[in-house]
Amino acid sequence: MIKKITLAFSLSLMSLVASAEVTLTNTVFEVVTITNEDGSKQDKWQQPDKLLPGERVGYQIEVNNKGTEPAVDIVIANPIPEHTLYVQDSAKGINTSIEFSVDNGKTFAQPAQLFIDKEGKRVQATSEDFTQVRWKLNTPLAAGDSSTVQYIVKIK
Amino acid sequence: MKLKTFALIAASSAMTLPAFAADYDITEFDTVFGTDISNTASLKYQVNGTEIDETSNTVEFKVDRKVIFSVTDNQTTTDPVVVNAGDNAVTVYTIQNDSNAPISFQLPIPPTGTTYSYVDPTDGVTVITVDSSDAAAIIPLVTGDANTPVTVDITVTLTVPNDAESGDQIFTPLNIVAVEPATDAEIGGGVTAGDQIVATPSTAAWDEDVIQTITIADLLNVDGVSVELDNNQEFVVSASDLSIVKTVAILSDPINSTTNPKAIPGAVVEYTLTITNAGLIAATGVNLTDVVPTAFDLTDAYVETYTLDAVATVPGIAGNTLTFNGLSIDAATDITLPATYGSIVIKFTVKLP
Repeated sequence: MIKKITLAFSLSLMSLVASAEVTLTNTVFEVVTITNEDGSKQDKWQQPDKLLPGERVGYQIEVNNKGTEPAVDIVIANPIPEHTLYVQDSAKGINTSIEFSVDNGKTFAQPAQLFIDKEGKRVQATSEDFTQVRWKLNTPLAAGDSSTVQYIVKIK
Repeated sequence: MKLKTFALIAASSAMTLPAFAADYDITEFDTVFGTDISNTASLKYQVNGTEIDETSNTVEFKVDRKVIFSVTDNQTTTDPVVVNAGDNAVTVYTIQNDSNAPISFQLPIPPTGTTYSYVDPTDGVTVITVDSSDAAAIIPLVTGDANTPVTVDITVTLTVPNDAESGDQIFTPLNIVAVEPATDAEIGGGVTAGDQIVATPSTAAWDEDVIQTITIADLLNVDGVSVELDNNQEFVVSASDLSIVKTVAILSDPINSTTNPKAIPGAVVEYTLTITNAGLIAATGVNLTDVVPTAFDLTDAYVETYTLDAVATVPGIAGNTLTFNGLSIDAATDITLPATYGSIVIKFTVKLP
């Protein structure tokens, strides 16, 4: 009797582990501005060739459900790395709600609801005050599916 | 972690190559070269009601080095700057280090007759002077930023010879080469203190652990790798350039009066001395000596007349020697145009015994 239970228990554990295989991959790019033939400008993400103060770095984070069950309530969080500043409006992700933190990840909110203390006064935070960015995926990630989010920072 | 190379942007029409700025703005913070920038993402999700946390790989890279410096001189007048013969031609060059790294600057050995002097930036007090007998100096400058620039002033002094001629060209050159301030294994393939700083070729592949060196076009030597700047302030010498011409005329004689007078006893003879200054500075304190031929007697009853620019003047007289002291002759305004030269005219009359 006990043997059977033990076997069933370990089997269910294994199936739990086997169904939860969501990976997170972080990749860095250099973001440059290019001029099109018609004179318009746009960003291009490319392999870095040098990374200097004042230049922009793009991070692309891919979440991949390699398991057999859908993953729900997915939340991806990234720091704004030390020595960099978040580039306003650069965080993107299809079907996500994006929030930011100014207190190193303790709390997250929309930019309009973020405030900081400056010289004893409570002032609205700017994108340069953000310490973290977070994406909440609005829909589950089916087994075998992946989703990508990205943001850009500027090296101080 | 190997970098993925797929593009991220939506499809678009044909694009031109990126237009990278030739120079790099100095940021307020200017992160020091070699600083590690690290990023790890975190993930929370649920499967079948179980909450699971994951983290991504850590992406890390080192900030590369930009070597940028400027040199300005203190000459505010138009070039070339005028310097008088015998004076010092002096230019102060200010070097400002706008790199995100400390940089050392190597000065050459000065040419003979030229000295460089500067305040040692390591103590802010000691004045160092270098001349042609010294070894080449190396000046270390720490890194600054847009709010607190780091600079050193180099005074280049050259003494203009007393006998330099008006219009001569004089230069106070300063050629500065950027050299490594320290030995560092992470820069390029590893560098040693005192090596010339070498810009990383644009064809070099990026390595997140290797620090590249980038500079701007104006600082890149023709060899394509050395980082240096040539400066050469031009001066033009101003000097007095005097010449004298003496002419003689017969004003009158006892037989012909003033009509075609001849050089016969009793004739009144006029000597004219014209001193011309073709140089760019006025001549002052000029002393002129003229020996009147011994045929003339400056002490007889005839009253000689002496004028300087048509105004009566009194020379010193000793026997037959006349001296006119303390003369001033204006400078030329254009050394190529004789009509602009300064001049004075001395005339005096004597009677032929």
